[in-house]
Amino acid sequence: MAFLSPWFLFAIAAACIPLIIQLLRREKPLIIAFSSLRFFKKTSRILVLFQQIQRWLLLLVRMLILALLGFAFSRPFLQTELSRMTNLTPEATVILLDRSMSMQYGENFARSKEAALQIIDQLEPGDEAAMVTFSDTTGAVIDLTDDFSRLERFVAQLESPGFKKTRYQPPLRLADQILLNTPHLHKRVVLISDFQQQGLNQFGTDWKLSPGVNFDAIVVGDKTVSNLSITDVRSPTSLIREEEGFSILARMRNMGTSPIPSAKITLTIDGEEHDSQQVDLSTRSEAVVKFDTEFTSGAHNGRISVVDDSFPADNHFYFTIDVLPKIKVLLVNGESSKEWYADEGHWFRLALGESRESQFQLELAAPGELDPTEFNDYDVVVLLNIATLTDKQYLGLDAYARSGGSLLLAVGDNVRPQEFNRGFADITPALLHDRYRSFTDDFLVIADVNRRHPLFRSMGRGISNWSAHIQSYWPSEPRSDGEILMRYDNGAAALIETRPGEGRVLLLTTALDTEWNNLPLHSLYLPFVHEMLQYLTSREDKKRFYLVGDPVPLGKSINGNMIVIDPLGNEQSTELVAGKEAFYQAANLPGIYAIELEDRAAWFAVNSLTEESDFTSVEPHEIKDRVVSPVTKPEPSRQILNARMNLQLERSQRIWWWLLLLVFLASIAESVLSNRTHR
Amino acid sequence: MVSIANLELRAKVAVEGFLNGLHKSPFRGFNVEFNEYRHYYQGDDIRHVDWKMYARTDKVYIKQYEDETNVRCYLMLDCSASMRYGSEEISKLEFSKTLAGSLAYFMMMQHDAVGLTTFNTQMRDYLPPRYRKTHLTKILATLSNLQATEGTDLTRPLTDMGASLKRRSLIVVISDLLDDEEAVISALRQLRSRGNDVIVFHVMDHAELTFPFTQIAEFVDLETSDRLTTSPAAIRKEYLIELRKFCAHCRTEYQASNIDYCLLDTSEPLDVALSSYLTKRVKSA
Repeated sequence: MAFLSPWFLFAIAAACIPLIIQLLRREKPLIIAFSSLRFFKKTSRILVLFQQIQRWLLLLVRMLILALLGFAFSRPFLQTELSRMTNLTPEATVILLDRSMSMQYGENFARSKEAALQIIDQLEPGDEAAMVTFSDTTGAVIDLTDDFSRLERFVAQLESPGFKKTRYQPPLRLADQILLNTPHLHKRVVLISDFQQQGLNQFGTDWKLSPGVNFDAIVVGDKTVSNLSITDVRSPTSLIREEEGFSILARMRNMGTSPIPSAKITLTIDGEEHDSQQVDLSTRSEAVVKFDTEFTSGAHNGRISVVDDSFPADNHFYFTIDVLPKIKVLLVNGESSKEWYADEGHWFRLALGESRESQFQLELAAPGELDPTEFNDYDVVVLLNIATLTDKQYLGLDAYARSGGSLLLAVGDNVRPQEFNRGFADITPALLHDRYRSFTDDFLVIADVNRRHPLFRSMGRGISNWSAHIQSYWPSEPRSDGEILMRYDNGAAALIETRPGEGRVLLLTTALDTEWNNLPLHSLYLPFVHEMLQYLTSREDKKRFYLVGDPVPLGKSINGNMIVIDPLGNEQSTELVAGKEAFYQAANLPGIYAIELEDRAAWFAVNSLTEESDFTSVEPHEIKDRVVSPVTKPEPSRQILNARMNLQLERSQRIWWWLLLLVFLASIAESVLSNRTHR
Repeated sequence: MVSIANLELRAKVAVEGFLNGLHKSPFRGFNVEFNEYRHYYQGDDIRHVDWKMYARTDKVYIKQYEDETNVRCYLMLDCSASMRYGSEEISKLEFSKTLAGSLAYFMMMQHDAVGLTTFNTQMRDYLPPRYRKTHLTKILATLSNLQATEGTDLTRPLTDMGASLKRRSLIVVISDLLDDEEAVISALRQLRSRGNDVIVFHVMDHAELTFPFTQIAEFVDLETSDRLTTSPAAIRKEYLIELRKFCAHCRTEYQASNIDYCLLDTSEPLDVALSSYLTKRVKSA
């Protein structure tokens, strides 16, 4: 320790002033001859003794205040800090610690924490270090600090790795940014990882660390690895054939470096083990395991598991299967024709299929046979080219649509606009005007499709290239709440949707037979009809499983409070609003997630990332070659040197603040003591 | 009254106004006024034999006279060193001397025989009770020459006094009672149990009762010469609690033994003490 104003050390002698005053002005106590001290002796002797101590303590505190002030004014500073600045080579280090799923293997993560602690332990005074955890993105971060104990605590408190994949570039970029503004001349990045090959995916080839930043690698992965992974499971998303046998195929792959004889694979359905098989796999080989099973109606969840594998994180593959009832469709054909090509009903029945495998259960009725009381027995009522209905039937359809029923209105030459507009006034998506007929050789095509609409979402880009020729249609005037989903190339609406009450109504302004167009002759006719019916019955797409980190859609057409329960039993509540897509963003664990919405229950499955099961590693020098800049270390600018100097000077003189703080505390103690001391 | 140097004069002034309590003596004695005869018993003073009666009746009779002496009163005055303490013009000893003188004067005025005993660690002066004018002068002279020295031992003089008393008497103890209180109480109880009336005048200086000191001081015990430097402000509360506990204990114990207890503050007039004595005197009558 040295002093900038050493002559102020003489001021420490001022600490003697209170003592001198005490000695010089020491008042001899008044002597009082008293009758007896017997009542004095019964008072607390400790009190008297404490008073003596208090007086001496007060004197000491006053001396301390003056001594500290003198010491502070002499401006002491730590020479070691300055010598460090001039002689040593302090370094800024950013430690990158891999917390991807593969680090769950064996002792990988424990070794990585140990390596990080070792690096921190080797840091010298003047060094600074930062800590960044990462998987596919960067996780918890501690910025550059010289508080090494804080870094040690941070490492010690790190929890086990999650189930995310490995990406090396995001943490390296962040480390480079952290080191960008540090005044240290020596900078380095230490990457602690199992160095999976796949961590280099999406690694930008043009990016490098800033000039002067060194790269070190610490490999914590095992050289020999044993891991049997389930890379894929083929199972149907939904079934409509109840109690019929299905096969579930599981693809197994030996990701390790040694063969795996007699691995046991099990199939569990709804929590009960259903079947098990044995597989033998040599190194880097694959096998497909087939499980035959059947399901009853309703929602089911399943799991394919590998028993007794070295890497438990990828030992389970989860999936869900919904066994759905058939969609009941009531088809009302307004113009049955003996000519099959001019009969809308014929083409529609053809599209739906009437075999046992069809997901639709079709019933036919003539307009005159329609019983309004039976509408609620059907999921969809399809009205094809209806000329007229009775008022009672109109009212029944109106009530059916408003109460949640679905209507598909396909018009044709049999339709009378005035009658149509009157009968369906409150539920039609659009009012019809006079019929459009093209000239002999002219035709319209489907030109504009709202591909974001759920109806078309699964049909892909092909719907935009639907080259069907339309010679005739009913021009329409959509209602204020009508949404045009498809247009002809002249801009007129082809398919319009409205939602009266809780139901859905679709209006196709051209016919579904070959009289006005050649739609039924095109390959898209069948999926178009199917998608319309599925959309009308709200059967939205559901995936067999999601991957960790995927946003899981919770539904767009539902109102209410949905609760999602993750595999650990944690609940998350989400308020769903019809028409607004909501997602579950916290699928960070593999497993079966339960969904509760009012009285309904369902599941969705989340699986770990198969790429994290592949322990193929990359040599650290490959990463080093990619990221270390070939530019030699530049000389630091005058600005950076000044910043370093200022920082070190300020740091070496921090002791002043502590001295003044002590003076402050001693002053408070002096005030308290002097108030408590009796004169 | 402190300004009156002469103790006799001080006693006179103090007693003035208290003579209305005179009454007829219940005791018989040997004085000038003949009352009756009684038979001679062995041990009677032959000076009181009526020889003329013997000549006439051939029987020995003793002449009895009406005795003007009412009560045999013993004034016991503490002259230990602690009595020297006085924060104002008058010390406890001066106050006690005036009190004793006043009581003696007052008793003489009532034709009571008054004796005086002074003591510290032992009995110092002893004047037996007499009813004579010259005796009062002796008492006052003894009081005037009295000095406060040494420690206090109340027990021994009280025990000696109890042993020497042959007749029922009135014992007036004037002291600051700074002694072993249990032993003192025990000795006074013995006196009381022999039929004597006992009055205790507990004399305390005003400073002892209020402890008004403020500055750090070295307190010196007048009896033991012990020293203690302390801050009075810090110990005042504890001191007063202890003192009040001591006084309350004395009062409770004395009252339980039918001993009159009167705490006197030297800053207050003597009327309280005289009134107390008079009350006791009336009760005795």
